[in-house]
This record gives sequence, C-alpha cells and structure tokens, in this order.
Amino acid sequence: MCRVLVENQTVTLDGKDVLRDVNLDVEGGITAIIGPNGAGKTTLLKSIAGIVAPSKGRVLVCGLEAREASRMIAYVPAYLMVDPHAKVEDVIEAYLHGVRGVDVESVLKSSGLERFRGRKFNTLSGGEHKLVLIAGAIARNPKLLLLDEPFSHLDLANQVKLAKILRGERGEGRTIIMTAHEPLHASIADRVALMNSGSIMAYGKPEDVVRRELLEKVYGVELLEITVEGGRALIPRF
Amino acid sequence: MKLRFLSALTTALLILILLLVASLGVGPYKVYSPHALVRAVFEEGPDRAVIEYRLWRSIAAFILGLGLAVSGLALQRLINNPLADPYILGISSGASLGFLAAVALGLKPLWVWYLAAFSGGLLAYTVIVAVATALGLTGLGLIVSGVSLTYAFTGVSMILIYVMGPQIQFGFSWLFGSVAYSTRDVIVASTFLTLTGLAIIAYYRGSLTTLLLGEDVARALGVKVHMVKLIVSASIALIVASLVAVSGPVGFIGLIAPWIARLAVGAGFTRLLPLTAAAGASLGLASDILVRIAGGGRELPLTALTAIIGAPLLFYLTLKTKGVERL
Amino acid sequence: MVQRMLYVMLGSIVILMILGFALLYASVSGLRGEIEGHSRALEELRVRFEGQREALRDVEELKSRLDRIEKSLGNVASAEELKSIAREVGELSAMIGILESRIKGSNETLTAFIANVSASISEISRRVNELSERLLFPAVIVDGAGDRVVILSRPSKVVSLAPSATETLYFMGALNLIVGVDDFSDFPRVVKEGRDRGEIASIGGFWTPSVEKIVGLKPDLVVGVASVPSHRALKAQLSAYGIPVLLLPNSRASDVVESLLIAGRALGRLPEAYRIAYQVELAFKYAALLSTKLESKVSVSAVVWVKPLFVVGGGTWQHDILEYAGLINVYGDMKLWPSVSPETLLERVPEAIIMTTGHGMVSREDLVNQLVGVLGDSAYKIPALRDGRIYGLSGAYEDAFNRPSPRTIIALYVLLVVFHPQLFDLKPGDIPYDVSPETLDVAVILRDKVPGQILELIELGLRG
Repeated sequence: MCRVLVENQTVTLDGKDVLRDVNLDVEGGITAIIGPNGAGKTTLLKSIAGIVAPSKGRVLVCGLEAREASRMIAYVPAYLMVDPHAKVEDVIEAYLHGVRGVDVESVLKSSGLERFRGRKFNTLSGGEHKLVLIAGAIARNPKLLLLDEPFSHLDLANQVKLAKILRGERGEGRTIIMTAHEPLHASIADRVALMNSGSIMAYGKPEDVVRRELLEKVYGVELLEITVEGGRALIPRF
Repeated sequence: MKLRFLSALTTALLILILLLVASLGVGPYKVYSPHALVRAVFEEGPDRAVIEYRLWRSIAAFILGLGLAVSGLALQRLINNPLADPYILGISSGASLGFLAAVALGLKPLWVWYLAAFSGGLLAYTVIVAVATALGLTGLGLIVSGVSLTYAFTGVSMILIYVMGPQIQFGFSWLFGSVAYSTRDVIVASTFLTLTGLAIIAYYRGSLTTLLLGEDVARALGVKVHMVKLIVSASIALIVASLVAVSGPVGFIGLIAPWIARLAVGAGFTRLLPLTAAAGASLGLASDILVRIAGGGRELPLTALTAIIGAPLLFYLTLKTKGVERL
Repeated sequence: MVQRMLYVMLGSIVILMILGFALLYASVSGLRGEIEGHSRALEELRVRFEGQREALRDVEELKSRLDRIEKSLGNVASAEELKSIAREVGELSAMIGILESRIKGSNETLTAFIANVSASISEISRRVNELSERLLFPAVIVDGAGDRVVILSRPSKVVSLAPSATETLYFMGALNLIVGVDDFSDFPRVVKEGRDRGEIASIGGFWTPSVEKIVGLKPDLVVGVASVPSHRALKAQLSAYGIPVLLLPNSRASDVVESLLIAGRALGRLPEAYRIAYQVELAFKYAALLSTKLESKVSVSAVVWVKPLFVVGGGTWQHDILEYAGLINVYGDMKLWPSVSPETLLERVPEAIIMTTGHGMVSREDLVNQLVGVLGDSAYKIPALRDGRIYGLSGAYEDAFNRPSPRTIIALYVLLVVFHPQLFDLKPGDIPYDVSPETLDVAVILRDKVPGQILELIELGLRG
C-alpha cells in the first residue's frame, strides 16, 4: 500500500497562498477531496502529483519525494486539450511514458474501450474522455492514482461505471485520491477531506465529514438533507 | 495502427525516391529520362556537370524540407498548438536577421554566421514564448503575436538590406527563399547541423509523445518538461538557423508536412516524426522542382509556392482550431 | 589650331590617366598599342620639323630615355618593373605632346634622330608584345567585387549575366566569344537575335540567372556585375565547376573604363579594350571641358521611376554623367536611387527633369499627373513643371542612360545637346521633349563638333 504524506504544504501562486499549511496522511483506499470552487483541491492534487512545487513543506509518495515518484503515480486532469488529430490510441500511448511491456491494443481490450479504436479523442464526449484518460492512467499500473474531478461531465450510467472501476482499482491495492466539487461523490470514498480557502477543514470518514452543518458553513448556503433507503444526500435549497 | 503507419511510411518513401530522381532529371537546362540520367553520370561532359549541380541543389531542397517539417512538428508539440510553424512564429525571420546582421557586420568565418542565426532564432522563440506566457496566449493569439514578430524582424532585416545594399551577398536568397544559389560548404554544414537537431529531437521522442497530454500531465508522468523544452527548442533554433543559411526564410513547410503526416497516422510523435520528415523532404523537393519548371530559366522564390498551399491551409486550420480552444 | 593643340594635350593627359587606371598586367600589354601610337606621332613630327635647337635637345632627351627604357626592358625580372616602365612611357607620351605644340618645322638632323627613335620604339614594341603574351595567362585579376579571379587560359566561351557586361564585350569586339546571355541583354541587336534563334543560350534573368544553364554551357568565363547579389553568389558556386566568375564594377562612370580594362585583361584583349577605354575617357573629359565653358549650370532631377518616385542619387554613374553634362543633380546628396516623396521637389526646385520612360511604360504626362495629383497646383511651383522642362528619354538613349557600359557616352552627349544646344550651334527650340534617336540624331549634330574618336564611339554605340 502506497502512503501519501503531505506535510505543512504551502503553495503560493502569483503571490497568493493557494494552499496554506496543509497536512494529509493517506494510505490505501479512496480519498475524496471536496470543497467549493477555488478551495485549492486541484492544487493539492497537483502538488501530490509533483506538478506544482511547494513553497514550503513537502510531499512524500510511497516514501519518495513527489517529483521522484512519477513511476508510482498516474494523474488524470479535469480537462485536457489535445492535438485535434490525436486518436484515442495516441492519448493512451502518451500515458505509457516510461512504462515497458504494455501496448495500446491490450489497454483498449482490458479496459473495454475497443469501440473507441481509431476515433479522434476530441470528438468524444466529456464522459468518454474521462474513461479513456482513466484507462490510460490505470495502464501505467500506478501505486497512486490521482484523479481531478473524475465524476464531472459524466451521466448517471457512467458515474456508476466509474465508481465500479474505482472500487476495482482499490481492490488491486492502489491508493486513489480524487477531487470532487459535488459532495455526493464523496460517498464512494473511504475518507473525505473537506477544503476551504487553501486549508483542510475536516478529514475523516464520509459520514463524519459530509455533514450538513459543516458543509453549510463552508459553502455558506442552506442545505437540505435527504435520507432514502439508507443513503444520505445533501442538496442545496434553491 | 501499425499497419497503417508502415503503409503510410512506405508510400512516403516511394514518393520521396521518385521526387529525388525527378529533381535530378528536371530543370530548365534539359529534362533527362532516367536512362539518360544514368548515362550522363558516367560520361564526362556538360550533362554530368548539370546533374552534379542538381544533386547539390536537391540535397539543399531535401534538407530544407525535412528540417522545416521536423522543426515545425516539434514546435507544435512544444507549445501545444497545431498552427505553429517556425516561419509563422517569427523564428525563421529572427534567424534571418541574426544571419544578415553577421554578414552586414562583415564577420568572416561561416560558423559565426550560424551562431548569429542560431541566436536570432532562439531570441525570437524566447520572445514569443515569453509574450505568450505573460499574456496567457494560446491558439490564435499566439499565432497573431508570432506573425507580428515576423513582421518586426523582417522590417529590421529590410532596413539592413537597404542600408547594406549589394554587400549583402545573400540578398536574393534572403528576400525570396531559394536554394538556387546555395554554396556547397553551406549545404554540407547545414545538412550536418539539421541532422544533429533531428537526432536530438528523435532522442526525446518519448517525452514529446507524452507532451501530447499537456505539460501538467507530462510532468506528473515523469517528463522533465523544462529540460525537454529547453533542449528541443534549442534544436529547433539550430535547425531553423542552419536552413536560413541555405535558403533564407521559407514558410509553411513546417505547417503542411506535419499536417499531412497527422492525417495519415494521428498524433503519436514516434510515428509522426519519420513520416513528417519524409513528407517535408518531399515537399522541399517538389517545391523546388516546380520552381524550376515554372521559372523557365529564371529562379522563382520557393516561398511563393509553399505559401500558395500553406496560407489556405493555415486559414482552414484556424477555423478548425476554434473547437480545440473551447475544449 | 588651338583646338588641335587641345586635342593633343587632352590626349596625353588621358593617356597618363588611363595608365594610372591600368592594373599591373594591363600596363604591359597596353604598352604595345601606345608605343605604336608614339611611332606614328614621331613620324608625323619628322615631316613637320623645321629645325630648332631646343627641339633638337628635347628629341635627344627623348631618345636617351627611350634607350634607357629599352635597356631596362632587356632584363625585366618582375611585373613590378614592367609597371614602372609603362609609367615612364606614359611620361614620354606627354613629352611628345608638348614637343608637337612647340615645333613648327623640322630639319635633317632631327629627322635622323627621329628615324632612330622610331626604330627603337618598334623594337620595344616587339619585346613588350612578346613579354605580354607570355605574361597574359594565367591571369590573376582583381575584379569589381575586390576578389582575385584566376583565369588559366585565353577564354573562348563566355557567358554574360548583365546587359552592361554584354555591351562592354561588344565594344571591345569580343561578341563572338559569347555563348550565353541573360534575358535582359538586347544590345547589340545580334545578341538579341542570336538568343531568339537559339544560337546564343538564354541563362535566365539578370537578377536570377539559372545556375544549371550556365553549368550546362561549360563556359570558361562568366562575366557579371558587382552590384547583383546572385552574381556574387555564383562565384562560390561555379568555382566548384572550375568556371571563373568575373564581376565588373558598375557603380560610377569611371567604372565603365575600369570594366573595359578588367574585361580586356581577362579576355586577353587589352589593346582593343584600351582603345575604347581611351575613347570613353576622352569623351568624359571633353564633355567636362565643354561644360566648364558654360556660363551657368542647370539644376535637374533624373527620374528613373514615376510611381513610386525613384530618382538618381549620388554614387551612381548616372549622377556622374549629369555632372559631366554640366548639370547639377538636386538629389546628389542622397545615395544610389532613393525613393523620394514628390514634395521634396518643391524644396529642391530642379529647373528641369529628365525621366526614363521605361520603354513606353510611362510618359511625361504620367509624371506631371502624378506630381499634380500629389501636390495639387503647388506642383507648378517646381520650376521644371512651371517651365514645362521635362525631358523623356526613350529607346536607345534610355538604355544608354540606364546601363553603365560605353554606351553611357551617348546619354552624356544627348544630355549635353539637350541642355546646352548653343554649344552645337542649335537653338533651344530645336530640342524635342521626347528624346529618342528618332527625334534627335545626336551623331548628326555632333559631326565636326567633337573629336573624331568620340564620334566614332557614339556611332559604334548607335549602330549595334
């Protein structure tokens, strides 16, 4: 199991502290980072991925500095703009940087994306994008899977499908960290970190963190709590 | 995928070989059949001298097309913009200015000219990247600032040519872009430098493949983005500089060749690279052959031809790029 | 008589000047023609001598100097020495000129001396010929671009890249050597006809010659001009094929003479080149002499293109010609052919405008319309417009003005006639505004008004 240790992480971009003294300790399972827009979710994910350099503090991934741990990491961005001629195969191929013995064809087969063969990546729908990128990321056989907003732009069927994939990958012993702006998606996580203005407000089990009074404070709006068939959902009061 | 790539590459190489033979056989002096070509090579006489000249000229056109195409491809991947081309972004005109300045200042050895052209090209690249980063330009914005940069450098070069007059030996080549008056020493030196640049770019093919996903993802996947960008952009400047010495600024091959290669095999860099190189070399040869035929005895500018194909393509791609930027 | 003396003085000055011009080897071969000239001059003297002691002494001195020259000629070790000999013969020729002006008759003693002198001159002439043939090739010539050009043997197949170069070759009688010319070379007519018939190959445009066509002709010499970049580029390219490229200087009027000497040396035709160079130099100097007699000079602007307005500036042969013709170029302070704003004419107020008509592409009316269109009625504040003194050069006169070849002399004398008709017993009313060989036959006007050698050159230039 790969342990991710974020210590006193401060990230300053354009003179503004995007992350402020963040501490996080994750080992195995699925961790969801939730919070309002601009809370620093993506920046935290990027600093774990070694994309953003911290101005203070450090990140250890599987015992290595984040920048040295790229072999262990696969990162899937929220949005991706690629060459308009790029095909699905090209995108998966690009994900296999530094990975030996895996070919694109077997990735398409194992991820059940054969129907996309030869399609231009940019002509796929938002949900299909996600599936392709995640398939590419998983093909790296990473110990740590970092997903930025994996559930956004997915329809209900694809959301269920993705949740199934993520649970499967968790079963393979991968540590998964994802961001979500929709608290509902935190429910598939084992742990949830709630962020606001660059800091982690709460960290723990979903039922402890995704609580009405906590979220109302962070989002500054009134919420309705609905409990149906053992499931619990918070929706804004419009 | 693999089959498609191999068949595309075979086709490209066949076309290239055909064009090579044609470029030895076709010209204003006389048109030789392949048979006459072989016979002329083994007989002492004016035919042999003409073919010898055409061979050198073909090498220049070949390396010009190849280098421009490869540097265009690498540039597009580096700044993640399929509209990029060393000519459109001002790198060619920057290198030209450097080259002209060295000639105008009367600096003598050949390598000083190359160094000046290299510096000019690198300067242009740095300026365009700095401007793009500072203003957050991508897509069309980047192209527009590149074109403005081209105009600025070209303006200064024009003044230089105006002031120096006939002292600028390469006036013709510089103004119009032509391989007709390239001398052998320059062709040899530029071929060597262009192939060096190509080798460096080929060495980083893995990183450039992954840069398809953008810098952030590439960095997360272990690509040393800063170093790769630095070395590859220097290689681009090296190639462009050495080609400016051969022919002056020639446009659009760096746009057309990668586009053709993409149509055939998509966006995987390892497949694009050989195909783009072959397509570029073919375009270089084909343009030069057309220039010879169209000009009769007179030399026409190469850019006149490449621009006729390239400018509408740029327009077409511009229209399509809107979609990319929305994504 | 005064005029005759003037000719002789002029002649000796010119010979001196040209010798100064002549390059190292040029002087060697040049000696032959010159010494033959001296022979004739002395022969003439012999007939006309009356007998004067002073003259006798001078002729004796002449003889002794000739002896010395002959002696030194016997053991010439280097080209450097030949050069100094050439210089001395130059001084000699000046002395002959002075002698002729002083001596009224002859006596028998002098005749004897002169027979001796003539004999030694023939001997020198013979030796110089021998030496120069041996020294002529391989030739190392510094050409108009300042490069050393090596020519191994007497060229027999020559390619000319420029109209002015073709014309220069024509004047030295080397037309039969030409196997290829650029598309702009149309003078003399036989060149154009030969090219049209395919007897002389076309090698492409003046600015953009086709290298492979030149290579295919296998010439042993290519002659271009120094100011064209592609001609310079050809030098390095063609050296790989063992084809020397000689660039003729083509900036100033003096370059016409320089070009003749450089080309003459390269082709092993110095005496011919030399004779024409002498005539050209004489024509320049004679024109300059005529214009010194003028009471006032006319300020002009020479327009070479109307839209945009391009004029002749300083540092060009055209500017020099304007000066020789007793004109003041109002744009003489600018370099080469500047593109100027029409309003500068209001400030520089030329009394007349000379324009080239681009072989009928533009007319004098076009220029007036252009100026009035830009400047409005104030255009008529320009004296040239106000007085209607706009002259359009066309046909052969236009080419003669625009090409730095010996034909330049035609343009020079046309300008002299147009602006100073009184020198040639004409009235201003006799001068047309559209100036071409059809409207103004300069050869007829100049007959008996200028030295025969100048007229000969002009007729040669009009005939081609």
